[in-house]
Amino acid sequence: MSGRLQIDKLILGYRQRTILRDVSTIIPDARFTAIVGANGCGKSSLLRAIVNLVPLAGGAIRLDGGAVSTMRPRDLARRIALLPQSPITPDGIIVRELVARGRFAWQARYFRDSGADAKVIDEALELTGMTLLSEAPLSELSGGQRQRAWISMVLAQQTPILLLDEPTSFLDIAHQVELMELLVFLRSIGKTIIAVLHDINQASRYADHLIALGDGGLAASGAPQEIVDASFIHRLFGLECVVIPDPVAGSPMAVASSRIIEKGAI
Amino acid sequence: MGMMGWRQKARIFPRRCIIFTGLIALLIVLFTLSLCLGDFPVTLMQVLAALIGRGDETVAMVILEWRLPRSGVAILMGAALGMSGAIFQSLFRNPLGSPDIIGFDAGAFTGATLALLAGYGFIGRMAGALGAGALTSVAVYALAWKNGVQGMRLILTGIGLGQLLAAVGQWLLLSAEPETAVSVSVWAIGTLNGVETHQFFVTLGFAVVLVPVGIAQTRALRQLELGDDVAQASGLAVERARRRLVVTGGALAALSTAVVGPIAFVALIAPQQARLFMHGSGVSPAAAGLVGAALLSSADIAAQHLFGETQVPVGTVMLCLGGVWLLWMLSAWKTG
Repeated sequence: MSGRLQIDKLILGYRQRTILRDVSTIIPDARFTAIVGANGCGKSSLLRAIVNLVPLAGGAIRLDGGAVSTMRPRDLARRIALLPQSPITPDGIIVRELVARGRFAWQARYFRDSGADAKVIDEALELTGMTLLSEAPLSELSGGQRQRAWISMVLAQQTPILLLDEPTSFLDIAHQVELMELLVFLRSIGKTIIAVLHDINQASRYADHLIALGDGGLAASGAPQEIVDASFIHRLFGLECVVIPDPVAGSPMAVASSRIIEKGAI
Repeated sequence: MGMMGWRQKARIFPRRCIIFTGLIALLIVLFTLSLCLGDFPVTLMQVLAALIGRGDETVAMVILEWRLPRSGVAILMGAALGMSGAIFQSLFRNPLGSPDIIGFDAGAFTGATLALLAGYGFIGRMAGALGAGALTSVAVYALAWKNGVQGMRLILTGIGLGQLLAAVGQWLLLSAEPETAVSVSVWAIGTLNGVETHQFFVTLGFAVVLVPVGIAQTRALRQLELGDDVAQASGLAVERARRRLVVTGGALAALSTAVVGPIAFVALIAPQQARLFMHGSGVSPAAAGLVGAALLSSADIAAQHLFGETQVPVGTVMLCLGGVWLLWMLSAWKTG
């Protein structure tokens, strides 16, 4: 498995509290990887560590062989983009303006808006189907449209790798499906997608590769078909369930069989 | 696609161009007006002649030595305050984050008061204000630090420290000689009365350095508005950029305090008005600077000529304007 992004014996934590220890894995290129696990297991921390937003307590995250922690923000931003779970929307900003901010790492320090930038911005809007809404203020868009505007912004950053932290969490079911399909489409045009997802069935259905975190470390990693079964769900979430094939996609789908979460669960 | 992109762009950017041009035109009108008005009325032609070094010598002296420094300082300091306000409001994501509210003015004022009480003149006052303003910025930043700096924590720390410094300033005044206390008090409201040529040039020198530095940081400011995570992940070294912005904004505020005293409200109003004019998001330091310059110039023209024989400090005019503006904003906010 080839992967430009490699995580090597990573330890994350603040002072006394370790969040993740000894995580080693390779993120496959041009695939959709989902990071899954119970609440508070360190999914977001892992994602933020990849773009150097969290100091490492040990180990290393390497991109093309170089440690991410030693890279200049500008160089890193040309290769990895991040969409956090709840980014701040500046008052009154319109879609196109937001997307243009994704160009920061590519612009000369004190000048902006070259013709090339305009072209990249147009393409980013086109990819997410936001061209017609490009002059609309973000505040007047629906949740789904707003999320697509943000994704256009990270696309304008022109990185091979995209990180998304729970991109569906504030969306209704139709917009969740729309967004997951957009991510699958972006993977199909060669992007490496890494998304934190809290819905294991969604992750199994759309992602090619799962990184499961649990018990303060890496619980499992691999293709959903290979690793998701009842014991996997139990280990990760402490939930009794039956795993059946998704009637549409055939991917593993967990259906809870017990409503009582067992004591001593992770 | 290209065509459409161009047309969409066309809608927002010409608007900004028109507004920038309009603001610059307004500034030129205000500047010329301030040179013409006064006890010794001067025509537009005489002003133009004096500016290019021609015309009657007495008229030239009135224009170049009496009026020009004052008008120039009003424009420069208005611009400095507007830019400083834009930087801090954007940095804190809060309109109340302007330098007069978060204590930088108070720090600069205390430093300048100390210098005046020690018997120093204009240069001492400048040095005192700039030094103390910078110290206050550093102190506010350090006191608010907790794994990085957050907007609200900075604002509250600034307000707290600002009040403390204001109290120190008052105490210094009370213990001063009556004549010194009176002159410091007038200056404490903010006034452009008696601005001299050398003060104009010193101000100009600082502005020539600080204004471009402020404008150059517009893009960093824009990225920071998206939150620290996005700013950093999109390529900005967040903490360094923020430190640079705090220093630049603090220096602009301290500079204006040093020259004309702590004039209230310009730094609060100018960025907000600029934002209303410009549409779109964020406060552009350049636009806020232009609005600030126009605002302070207008206020100073009013201070000189609206009240007959009495020369009112421009700070008093700004206090009245600011109060009305705040009430107006609040009512617009309630109904809108």
